[in-house]
Amino acid sequence: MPRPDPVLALEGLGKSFGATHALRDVSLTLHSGEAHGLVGHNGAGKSTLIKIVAGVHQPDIGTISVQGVRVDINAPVDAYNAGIRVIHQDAPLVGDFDTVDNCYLGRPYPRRWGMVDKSAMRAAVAAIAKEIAPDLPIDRAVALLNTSQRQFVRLVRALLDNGRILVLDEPTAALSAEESQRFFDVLEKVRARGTAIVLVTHRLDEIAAVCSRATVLVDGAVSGRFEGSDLTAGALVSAMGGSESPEAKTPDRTPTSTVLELGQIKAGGLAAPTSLSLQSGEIVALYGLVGSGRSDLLNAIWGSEKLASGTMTIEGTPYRPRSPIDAVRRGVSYVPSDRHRTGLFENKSLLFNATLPLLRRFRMADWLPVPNRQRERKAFVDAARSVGLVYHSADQLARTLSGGNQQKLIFSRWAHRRSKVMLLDEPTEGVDIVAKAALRKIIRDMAKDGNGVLVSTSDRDEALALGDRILVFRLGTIVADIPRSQVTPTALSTAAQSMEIVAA
Amino acid sequence: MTHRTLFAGLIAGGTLALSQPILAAGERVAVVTPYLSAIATAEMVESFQQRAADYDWTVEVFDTAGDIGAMASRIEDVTTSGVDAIVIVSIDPAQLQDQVDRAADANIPIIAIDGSLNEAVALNVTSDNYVLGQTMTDYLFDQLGGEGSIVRLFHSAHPGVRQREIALDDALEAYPGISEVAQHYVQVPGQIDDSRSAMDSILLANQHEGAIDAVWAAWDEPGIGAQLALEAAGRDGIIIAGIDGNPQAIELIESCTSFVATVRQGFSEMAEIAAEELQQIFDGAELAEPERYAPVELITRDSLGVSCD
Amino acid sequence: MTLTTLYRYGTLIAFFLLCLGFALASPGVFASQANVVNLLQQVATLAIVATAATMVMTIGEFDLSVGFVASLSAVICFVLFAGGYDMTLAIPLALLGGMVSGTLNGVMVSRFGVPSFVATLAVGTIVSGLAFGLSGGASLFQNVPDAFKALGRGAILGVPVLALWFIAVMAGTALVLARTEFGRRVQAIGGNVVAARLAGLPVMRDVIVTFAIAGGLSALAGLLLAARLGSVQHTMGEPLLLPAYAAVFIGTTMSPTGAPSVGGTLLGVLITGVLVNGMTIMGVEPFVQRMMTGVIILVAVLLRHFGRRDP
Repeated sequence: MPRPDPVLALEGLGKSFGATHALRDVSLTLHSGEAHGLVGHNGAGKSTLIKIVAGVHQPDIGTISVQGVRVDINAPVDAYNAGIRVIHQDAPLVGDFDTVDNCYLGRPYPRRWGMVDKSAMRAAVAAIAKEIAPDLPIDRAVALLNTSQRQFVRLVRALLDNGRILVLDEPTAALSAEESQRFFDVLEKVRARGTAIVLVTHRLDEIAAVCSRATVLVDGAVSGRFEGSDLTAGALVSAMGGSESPEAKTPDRTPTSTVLELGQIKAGGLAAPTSLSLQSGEIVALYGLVGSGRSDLLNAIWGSEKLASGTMTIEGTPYRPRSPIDAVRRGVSYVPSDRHRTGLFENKSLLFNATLPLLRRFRMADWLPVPNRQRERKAFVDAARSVGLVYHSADQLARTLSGGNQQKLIFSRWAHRRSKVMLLDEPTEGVDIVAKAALRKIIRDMAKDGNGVLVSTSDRDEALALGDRILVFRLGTIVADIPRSQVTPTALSTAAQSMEIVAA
Repeated sequence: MTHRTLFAGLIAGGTLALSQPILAAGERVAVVTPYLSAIATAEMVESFQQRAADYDWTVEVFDTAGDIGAMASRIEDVTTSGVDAIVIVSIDPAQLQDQVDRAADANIPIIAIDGSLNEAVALNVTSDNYVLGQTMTDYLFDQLGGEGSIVRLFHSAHPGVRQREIALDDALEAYPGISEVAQHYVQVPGQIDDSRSAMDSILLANQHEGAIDAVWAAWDEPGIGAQLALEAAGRDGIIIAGIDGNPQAIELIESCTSFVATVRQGFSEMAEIAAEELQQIFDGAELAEPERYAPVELITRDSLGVSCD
Repeated sequence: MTLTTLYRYGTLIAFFLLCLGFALASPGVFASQANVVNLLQQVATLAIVATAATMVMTIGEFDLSVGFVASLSAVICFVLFAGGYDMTLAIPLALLGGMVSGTLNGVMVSRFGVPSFVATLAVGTIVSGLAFGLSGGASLFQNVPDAFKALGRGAILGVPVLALWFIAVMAGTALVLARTEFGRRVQAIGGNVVAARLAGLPVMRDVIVTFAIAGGLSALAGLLLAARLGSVQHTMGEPLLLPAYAAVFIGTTMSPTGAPSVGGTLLGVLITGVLVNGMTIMGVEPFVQRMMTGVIILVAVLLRHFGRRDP
């Protein structure tokens, strides 16, 4: 059957940043009423592609056509005029505004006698909301809505003025399984209206369930296209598994003594009681998607998340932290994810950042809570050397460092002692490939020094590169516990993303 | 100390104590003032309350801590609540004309103590502030022998205090030998500290012997600040006079400091006159005069019987 | 002098220009030793209250109760004097009153998450009511021991006692903030409270302690003001609040990151003090004084705004 011109056609797109080829000869067509999945590991080129379509980046080579007509998208406004609506992950909304006002934010208001015509606005929004999400309270301040309702607000906003092409970047990252299901029900209605949808997500089962076609990106190039019955989570996983960068792996080791023992603990987003035992010198990787429960486990051990039930012991002694203060005291150390928000003191010096949590160790005297500056400075220099921090002065501000060095700086906080348990949450997120390798080496060295290490990561390569054992998390439960000798990249992805239906 | 007992009662009795005045019998009288922290105002309010107790009135006191806007709001509030009379203390009703007009329209009699004459006000009881200023200024200029330089510490926002200044201005015209070397507008609250700091600077700017002979303080508290500055600078030969008969000022006069005179207004007398006249109004009688004056009394070392040689 | 230097040290330069201007305009008066002594005494209580404000701003919060707390402590002390008690009871109780108010602020903010602007305004209002009630609205000056007055008067080796107080308080606070573990934690909380919590710092406790110290310092300022004047009105501390924050904000212009610091606050206090003192000497009208103070704050902050360069 002859098809009409595709709504969106990308042909031969290429984009380089310096020496890195972010995209190579990527083509993709999208028809109206079609949902198209776009998958790939972090750094595979998905974000670059989205940014080109959104007008944030311009391609070095290749063309973009909308309904058969070639368009130049040089700025976000061009994309907007072409009917392209990109919903970025966590796109900001104004909390005090209701859905109606949020939808019209930055867009021309309908007017009546020179005044903003709120009833016309409301009618327009209500018309769309009624169609796709009749339960959405559109007169309610968005701050009072839950996470999934806010996603609906973003959808309504995107559809309000004839958006024909909808690009969704990880729309369900912050949603529970049930909320995701509802979201996709709504999305299905949007698709049925004739809107073309590009869905970018880590959750391959979602792609398989929602999309009629899918494109897999690996290292900036298309590694597979799937359609109809060929489109399964398993097929996507194997297409993604193409490129491995086998850097040095953790050598096999013989476990010594148990430092941390978790018995049937429940906390936060952990759906089932979880048990775990960590040997000194061992690295256990906790692998899973965002929201799969691995961060909750770390938070529970660190004392920043209240333990609902279960027991913990450190070196055989019961451990029940009321706050991170107890954790530090008992020899637990922690490197949070999202260093800008939760790790770094950007406007403080390197020295300040490096010695803060263990400042007591540098006291002038036991009874005098005043750090001895010489000792503190020496400790900083030692710690900086041990993590390979590149800096020019201990007094420079932390924000002047590169991302990789900032992360090393946070690592250096705990280099002043041998921790019993090291908790690392996404330790190499958002740093370049060289820094990544360096950080992984530091982590291995920490383990070699006898620290027991738990690494929580959504990066499969990281789990493979670091873990003596890999625990795979999915929807708040550990679904697999794989020793390194038995692990394969595919097995890992399948375990994390498998389409097993959880009875709910 | 009635206030402290009252306060303890409030804490102890909680809401019960708060609702007490409404339940009590007799006329309800609201006393509103922005200057309860000033000692004289406090004295007037206290005397009024004592006399009101004799008449069996229920008195509610509102202080707005120098805030004239809040004062206006309180008058609106008590007007709405339908009190039987409003007494405003230490403020010119013209500053609250709208509010007092509305209260008068609602047939609530308004009495000003230490305020000014006003059409909306049934009675103003005051010391004649002009007379106060005149009494003090004449004494001060007499002490100087009709010649010398003075510093003026003033606060024209207060209507009575303004009258005292007018008396000073008239006297300055009558005594060509007296000149003004500096003046300072005193900030309220914080009046003592403010006058002290200002006086520190004025003394420095006029250092030579005889540059300043006297400090004319529109009321006693700035004079106390000036006294502290003179003490600290160790300057002799400058005398200070104030108005109000503030106990602290009287102590200073007694103890042979530079503070030599104050004029006592009959604050208690004013409040008593106000209460008596209000009772007349409640009895339905016409008032003879729209303004009544309480007697004034000059307090000096002589009148206190101290000798400082 | 490059433009960057002007921006970086603009406030300091402005201060010296101001002093120079007043000194030239009033020969032998502004720059005299006697005036320096005066100035140091005049700014002392403001400096201490501003130090309290600086501490609280270091943890990224506001304390609007400082002036009210100063009034309260002075009232507590003088009510006790009037009641025949002596300094050994009156002073500790007055300081305790301030610290309790501060602790209440801290608990509201850190334990119950009330925004500090609201919490301290509420606590401050309660405190001012308490001061009003305790004083009965009257001015208090009875039975004040000379030894107490001496705390705010006179000089030691030519330096006014009040100046010694505020120098000691500021130096002590600066030292605590820069050198102690507590100071580091306080800076960390102000820098990034989430990171501070996740780094295992006792954030809640430190916030409460910070507010309690601020309350204690405000109370001290109230006592010194009372000692300087020999009498107490229940509203006497209120005029300290706005100049204190003006001083802190002027001071933040001295930091490359706009962070409050004791040194910067000292500069801010001196600038506001010098402005009022110098203009009074020159007989400038009070309304002009106020306007000038506002203009100086704006200019200082604007200079920093234009001068901010990310390193």
